[in-house]
Amino acid sequence: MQIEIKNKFLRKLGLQSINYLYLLPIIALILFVFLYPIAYGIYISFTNFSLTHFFNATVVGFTNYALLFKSGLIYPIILQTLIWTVGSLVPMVLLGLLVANILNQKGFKAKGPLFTLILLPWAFPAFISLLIWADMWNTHFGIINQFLGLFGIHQINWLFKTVPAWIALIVTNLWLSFSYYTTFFLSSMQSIPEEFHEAAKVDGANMFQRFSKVTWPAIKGAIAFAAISGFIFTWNNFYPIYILTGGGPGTSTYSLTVYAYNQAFDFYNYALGSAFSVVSIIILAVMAIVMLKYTKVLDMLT
Amino acid sequence: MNINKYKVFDILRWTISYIIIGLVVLFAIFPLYYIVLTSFSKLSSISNLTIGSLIPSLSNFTLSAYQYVFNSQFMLWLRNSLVLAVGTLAVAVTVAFVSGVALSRLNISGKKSLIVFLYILTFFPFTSIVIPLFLSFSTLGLTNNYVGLILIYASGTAIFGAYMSKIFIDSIPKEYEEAAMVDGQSRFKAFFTILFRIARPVVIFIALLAFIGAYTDYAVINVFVSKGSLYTLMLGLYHVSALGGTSAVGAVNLNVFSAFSLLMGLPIVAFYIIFQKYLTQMYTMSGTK
Repeated sequence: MQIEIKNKFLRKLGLQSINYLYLLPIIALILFVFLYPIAYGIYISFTNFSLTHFFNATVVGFTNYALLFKSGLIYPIILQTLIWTVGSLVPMVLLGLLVANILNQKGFKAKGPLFTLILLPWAFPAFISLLIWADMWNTHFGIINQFLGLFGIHQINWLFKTVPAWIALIVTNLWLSFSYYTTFFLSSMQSIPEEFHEAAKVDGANMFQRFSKVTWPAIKGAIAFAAISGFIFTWNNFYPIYILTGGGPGTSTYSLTVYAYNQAFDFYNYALGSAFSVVSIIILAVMAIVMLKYTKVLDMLT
Repeated sequence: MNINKYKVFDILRWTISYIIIGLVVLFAIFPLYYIVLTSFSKLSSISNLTIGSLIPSLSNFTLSAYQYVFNSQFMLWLRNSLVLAVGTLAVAVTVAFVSGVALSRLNISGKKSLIVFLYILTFFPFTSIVIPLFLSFSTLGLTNNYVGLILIYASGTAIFGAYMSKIFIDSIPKEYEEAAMVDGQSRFKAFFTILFRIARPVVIFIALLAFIGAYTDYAVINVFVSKGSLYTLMLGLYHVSALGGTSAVGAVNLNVFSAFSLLMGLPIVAFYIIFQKYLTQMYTMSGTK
């Protein structure tokens, strides 16, 4: 009897460990490429690691963090990260919703080919697209200023003045991402049975009532999910700012992520860069958890 | 009377709809139209660009930019890019699928926490790990080495992919692999023959993400590779177009840059259009489950 129970227990334990073997590869990858570097990064942020202290870095406690907050530089950069994230996300989601709604109308002709054209910005490699846009925003020769010139608008110094630089960044980012939101919303709308719209029509609901009573409740969850993932993605999205403005003019368009990368790989200030990354992740994680709790998206995941 | 009112409204609705979609399509295709035209032009510098360059003309047509690209080390860079992209794809798909099966089908304690943990890991930007990874890789001698790069690229996709596979496999009835197991196949074999076939949309999705991630990376490889013989298309594009820094310099060799960009980007566009059905299905699934 005793032995039998013991055997059963051992068998169960054995089966459990075999089950864990399936997860071994991903756990190994996470440890090697995520957890260890993250821990190491946190450690570096407490040292004076830089090009001048490459081989003899020492632990300096909270010096980097004190520098970060005392110099005051971090506050505008946090604010800019928020401008970048919210400023990009709102137009993306709205344009995505608008285009998806239009394409979803019953009887829309040439939907397939038009949708494929709208998909192009998402499909073309984003990094190359950004180089093209950098070219198009060029002050003296760029095609955008030449086009505006036709209407008598004088050359705008797009990437070297704060307000135009933000406009350029947000328009470019809108171009890069609105296709994704359109696709996402369109396919959640297509999962709504046609009869729902018909029934609302019979009841005399107009276009806007149909949207608020039929479409909206059905895609609410999808929008919440897209907005939260989009928030996290945009907060961390480094290429647009890095390529278009490099954080300039001055430091007026830096986001936390771009500033951290620049500090590390352009100025070899690894410790300060790491400290910026740590602050960025803490702020992002707090906001993401609040949003996830509030919208209950996390319940859908598990 | 009433019918007339509806008709007017309908015409108005469709007119506005097509105008908006027309403008959106113009916005979407303009940058690509611009590089297609400049790639077949003699415009060697952005300073020669005029608004008239936007109108295609036969007298300006030339293939010289494409010749220039093929006379560079394009084929070497292409090979390197493919090695990296296919390597990343293989590792990412394997790891993601195996983990997805385990998270969906196997009895593992702490599974829920692990899934939430995987989701939270996707919050971390690569910039937060690229500094420590660079430092530890350089002490290990793993810089200028594709193995290290493949592991870095694959891990990001594999984490997201594991989580997507889990969601997808949840939607497949258990009877499929149970039937195979009754027929005498082992559990392992049943998972990887039956499930793998049914889960084709998610497998293609992960493969595509992994391939594109590695193929178009600049920020990571720029830090980890300095040897010219290991350059990928992305680094080659910089090299050939003589792009100075990264900040708003604009392309110097405009037509060469355009030709190179198209040669590099169009295959990816083709993948997107071919596999659009799977991509849409998976992205929708991730959000509306």
